[in-house]
Amino acid sequence: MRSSIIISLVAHSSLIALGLVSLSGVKPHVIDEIESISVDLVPIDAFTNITIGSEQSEVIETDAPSLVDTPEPAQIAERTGNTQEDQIRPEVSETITPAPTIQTAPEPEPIPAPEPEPAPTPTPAEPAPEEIEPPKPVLATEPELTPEPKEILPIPVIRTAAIDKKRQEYKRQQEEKAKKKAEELAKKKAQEAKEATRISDIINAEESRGATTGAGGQQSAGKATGQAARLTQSEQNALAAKMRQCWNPPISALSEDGLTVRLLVNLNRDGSVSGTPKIMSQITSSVMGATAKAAQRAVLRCAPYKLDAQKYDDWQKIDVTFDPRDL
Amino acid sequence: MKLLNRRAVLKLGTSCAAFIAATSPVLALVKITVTGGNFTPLPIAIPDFASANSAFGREMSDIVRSDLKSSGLFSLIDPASLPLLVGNISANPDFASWRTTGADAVVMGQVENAGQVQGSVRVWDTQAAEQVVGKSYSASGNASRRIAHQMSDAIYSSLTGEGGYFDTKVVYVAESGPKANRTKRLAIMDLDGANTQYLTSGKTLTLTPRFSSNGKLLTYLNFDNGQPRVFLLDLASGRQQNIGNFGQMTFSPRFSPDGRSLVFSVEQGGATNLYSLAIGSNKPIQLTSGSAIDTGGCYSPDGQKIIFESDRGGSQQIYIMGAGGGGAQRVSYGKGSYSTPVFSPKGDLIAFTKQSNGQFHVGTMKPDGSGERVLVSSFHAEGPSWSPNGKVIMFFRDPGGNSGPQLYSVDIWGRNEQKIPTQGFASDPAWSPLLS
Repeated sequence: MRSSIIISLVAHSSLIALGLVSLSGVKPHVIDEIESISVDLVPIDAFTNITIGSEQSEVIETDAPSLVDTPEPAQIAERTGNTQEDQIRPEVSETITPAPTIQTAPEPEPIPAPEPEPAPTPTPAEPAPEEIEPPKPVLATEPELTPEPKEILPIPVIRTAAIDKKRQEYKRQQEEKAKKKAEELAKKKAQEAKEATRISDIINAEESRGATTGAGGQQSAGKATGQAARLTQSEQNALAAKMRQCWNPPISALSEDGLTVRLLVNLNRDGSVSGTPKIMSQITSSVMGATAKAAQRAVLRCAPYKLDAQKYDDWQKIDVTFDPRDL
Repeated sequence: MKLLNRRAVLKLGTSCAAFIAATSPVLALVKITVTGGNFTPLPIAIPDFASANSAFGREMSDIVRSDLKSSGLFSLIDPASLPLLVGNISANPDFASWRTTGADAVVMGQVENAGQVQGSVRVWDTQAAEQVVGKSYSASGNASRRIAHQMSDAIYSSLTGEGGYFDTKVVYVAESGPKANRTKRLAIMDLDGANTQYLTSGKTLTLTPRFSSNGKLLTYLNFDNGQPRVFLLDLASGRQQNIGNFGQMTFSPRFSPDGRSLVFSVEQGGATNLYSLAIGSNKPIQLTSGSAIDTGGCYSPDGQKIIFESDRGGSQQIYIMGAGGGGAQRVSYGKGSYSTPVFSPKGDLIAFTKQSNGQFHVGTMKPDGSGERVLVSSFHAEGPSWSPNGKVIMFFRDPGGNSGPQLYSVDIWGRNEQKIPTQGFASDPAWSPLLS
């Protein structure tokens, strides 16, 4: 019993001692702390359609938001009523300060309804045609020359052009008067609103109603050639790279500065080219003509193009510029 | 940080509105730009030309093929692999089968040689399925090679947009005999080496031949009675004439663009100056003065300027001045010495020879001295002469030792260096303008 305990004790202690000696050489488990990189999963077009800023773009001055408008540093307010100095005694003024008056903006007046058109001035009544009594039949025994009954027609009221003109003139004058009156009224109102002391009056008199958005000519720092095409940049690049493979410009295009050729390419839904690409550039030299022909060949030779059929509307017509620089 | 503060929401809303406003009304055209591009020779198919004499048709088409191949701008598709072995000029080609050969252009030709040589050629674009050019020529019976070269020019210019240069001649100094006692005489030949003729007997040393702008006259240096003198040579009659004995020696002549006068150098009392002389007169006009050596004068294509080499600044450099002389300005500023300046036919480049680091270089620069480009470097390479279209330069190269000089051509991009075949050794080439 005892011996077995001793054996067990010795064996265990030697095992522990062995463990202490041999296991101490094991490398400590050190945790390397690696900073994680946060990743956003975005659709590819959100990335490729970012327009890059250009160093040549104009600098746009924008107001930096600032809390303090004045360049002077803020003054630390001093405590009041704590000084040892004598304070200036307020002078007793002999003039009486006038009581503050409150100027109010006038109630917005309803715009006066246009005055009713004046009734047409009655034209002076023409004198009624006089009744001409028919000559009494003279009963005569002897036949006499009876005068023929004279028929005198009434003179009709003639509506001349002059009258119409006068009426229009009158109408115009009335309108002008009304307009002037409204303008004066508005001016007066604005003036009163400016002088009004109550803030609510000033606010109420403010007429602007926020800004508009849209193509308002706001300058942006992006590239001037930026476009809102629906093909992503990588899709466009792939298309350009495919055409470049077949692009074999005449070598003389190399020595012409600034020679580029524009083609309008019509594509079918299966990516093949419909017809011959149309040359959009003005051909000014024989070298340019040869370059344009080479560009046409490049487009035709590399067809069909693999493009997303769902976006067919976007790539049905493509404007391709061939630039033989950096040959 | 709060991601969506009020400002951000506002911005988002505004930009969304702007986006909708900008995109919805118009369907934006997708615009792409293809920049760069690799120059590779244009694949071209030339079946044998149709002819009543099929051997003649093959001979003519072989000349055209070899012309186009030598330009370095075309790669010929093996005529044996073509869908048609003999072309048919009057029918529209079956473009689909031509496209399968890889050819971008197909040339159909027809030639006849019954007393008169007649030739017609059509170039078709296989991709666009349309004709690029169609031309026909006729000439007397012995000019069949010229007809073939003119066909080559038509094909070349229709596909590259540049003028051709195959229907031209080359005058050079033919050298024969042992190195210590070389006979140097003038020879003229077609660009491809055919039809070589000798213009001078070789009894006197002749050097630096130069064409007039219409290709009918030559001016050159002739050691007449041991004295270097400028001579004129009428190519039609073969008549040679000394322009006059001015100074101790006259040399390095060149025609003005209108062909009415010459510019050359006159050495007198140790000084060498440039003079111009109206052909037919005997009163040269002095253009430069001073004790320096001014030589190698060359008019600009508009006749307004003259470039020349001068050592007035210590080393040999290129200078430019008005055609009336005076007010010379230095053009070249690179290391080494510059010589033999030649204006290109368009006046956009100057070809020159440069010596630096024990080597000769033939290159080009702009007339203001910028954009220097060395095309060829060699133990001895010299004497550039322009092709009529200003895209190729011919020069000569001497390997040294007991060997002799040979003519070479290189294009202005430094590509496609080719040896020009000549009978024997050749130096100092002069490239004629287009003959037609």
